[in-house]
Amino acid sequence: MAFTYAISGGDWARIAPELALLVAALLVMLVDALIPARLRGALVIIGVMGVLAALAGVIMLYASSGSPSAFGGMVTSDPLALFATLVILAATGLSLLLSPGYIERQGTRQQGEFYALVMLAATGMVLMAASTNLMMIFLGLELLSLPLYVLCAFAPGQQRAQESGMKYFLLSSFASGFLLYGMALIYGATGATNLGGINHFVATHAMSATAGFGPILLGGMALLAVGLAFKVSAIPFHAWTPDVYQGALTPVTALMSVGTKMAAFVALIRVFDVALAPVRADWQGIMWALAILTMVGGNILAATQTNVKRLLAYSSIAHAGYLLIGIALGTQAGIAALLYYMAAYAVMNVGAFGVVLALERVAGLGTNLDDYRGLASRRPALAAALAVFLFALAGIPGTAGFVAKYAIFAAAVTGGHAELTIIGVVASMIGFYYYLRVIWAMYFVPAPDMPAAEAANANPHLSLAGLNSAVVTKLAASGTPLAFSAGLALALALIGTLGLGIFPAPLISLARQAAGLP
Amino acid sequence: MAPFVPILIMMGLAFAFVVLVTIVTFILGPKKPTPQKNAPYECGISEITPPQRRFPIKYLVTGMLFIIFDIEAASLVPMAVLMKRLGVTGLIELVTFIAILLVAFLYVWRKGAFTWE
Repeated sequence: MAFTYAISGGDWARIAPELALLVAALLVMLVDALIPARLRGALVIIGVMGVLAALAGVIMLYASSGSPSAFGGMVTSDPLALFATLVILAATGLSLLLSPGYIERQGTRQQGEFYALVMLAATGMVLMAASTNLMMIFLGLELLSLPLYVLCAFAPGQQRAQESGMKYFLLSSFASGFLLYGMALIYGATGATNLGGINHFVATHAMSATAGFGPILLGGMALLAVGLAFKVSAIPFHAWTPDVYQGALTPVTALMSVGTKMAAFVALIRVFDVALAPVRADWQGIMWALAILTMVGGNILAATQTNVKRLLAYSSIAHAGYLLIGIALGTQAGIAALLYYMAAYAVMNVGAFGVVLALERVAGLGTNLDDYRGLASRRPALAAALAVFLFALAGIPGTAGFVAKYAIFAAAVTGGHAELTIIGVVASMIGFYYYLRVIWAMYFVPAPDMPAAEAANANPHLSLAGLNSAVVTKLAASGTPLAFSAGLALALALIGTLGLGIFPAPLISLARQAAGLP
Repeated sequence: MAPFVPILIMMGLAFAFVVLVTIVTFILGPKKPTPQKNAPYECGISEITPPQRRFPIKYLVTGMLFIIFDIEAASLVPMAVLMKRLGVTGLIELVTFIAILLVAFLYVWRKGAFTWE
């Protein structure tokens, strides 16, 4: 084969959002190395600037014409990629804004590394969402996973964080192995790693499940489904989620729960709903079963949780189940509903984690349901914000969560899978119970008698965090003040949650465009 | 099949020898067990202190620094070979690549990775 090297400036423009995030990550590292330690808190500004620059890149690409494909069909900037990039940027930006104040409180001294790793993880997510080649999907996945392994274990001296990072590293590497093996088998069966090439081969060749390349393709699809289902934490590949989400620093949890899911769902859409659409009969049953298991299982498991971070982790599993309906349907309406759901989920879930973060003290203290008792009288604004986010996650009308659930259930009915709608509605009924339990604790249960400071002092983990008891007592007694940027992030999330619920039309049309509908 | 017959005979003989020796020593050998003899065989002496303890890993940093320069060299050589065909675009990409590595280099330098206590 002749050596061709045809990369132009236009190709680079097609990955402008990724480049903006990458440059911001490098700048954070460079500036971090050159400025004195006391100024490092300001590095978040570079991160936010990077997100804004990437946003400008997305708008530029929306406005540009011509073929969206770049680098010889490796990546694309089609509306699907751009929509996913918007969601990922929203999650990254909000997580960055939530971090100042919080990560110092957790005893983190390496703030430059924290922001650089967040930006690199975001780059990986955007790259994975833009990939149209199995190899690029894998590369994006690794680029998002490697920084997240470190970020999960970032809180110094906290055993829970180390457990979180280690568990995520081991299980995620294992899942990456499945994914890569699945890609190898699909390449073996179809002779292409390019999604277009795979689609062409599958569409022009009869794929029997028992003869020829059929069994290899089946095996490849199964392994690929396992790898991606792990990343979206679908049951039965969810076991890592609660421990990792609970132990990681809360901004990282917020970023992971939205960004990783978005990137992995775009990969699922591109591989299964588009490239392997001709053999839909072979994979639809798997996705159907995964969706039902994840919806029902996630909601039932969440109902028994007493820690709010764990509760939100199980809730994110349940939401992955609703999202999987969009994949299982395999219709464009299903994809559009999935995308809108993901955008709504981004604002309401990051918002919920944002309130948890504002109330959290060192070493994960103050995240139990008991700590939320009487919150409405102590911190009325935060309690009201959390109530809105939880109502949205439950799917109360007037919030983004309701429109999202309506869209995906309606797509299931019109797509001929009414049973998914029925199971989904029943599962979200269970969901109401645990969301309302938190709201009940905040508004209708009086605050506990024992001062929080005593409870904090009784915990041995605090000595690990290197804080003396006077500081803890002060923090617990006054309640940690909300940093300005965190307040801004919560306000933005609140506007997003209510705005998408009341005026859903513009974003729905954007999601429909991304799914290829008029 | 024919060329493998001697090998098969050899394998059979080897197997038979092992079985025979095991049985013969089992029957003829004296049996005087002591606690030391009954203990599972281990190489080396038993440890005095628990082996799981922390130790400084200075070579970790050296190893990571090595990766920076190793990747640089591994990527520069093929690009240098093809430089004429890559043209100006290739040169720009090469400079970008080295600039990114330079950021990593500056970072580890400023963070004190080159000071060996």
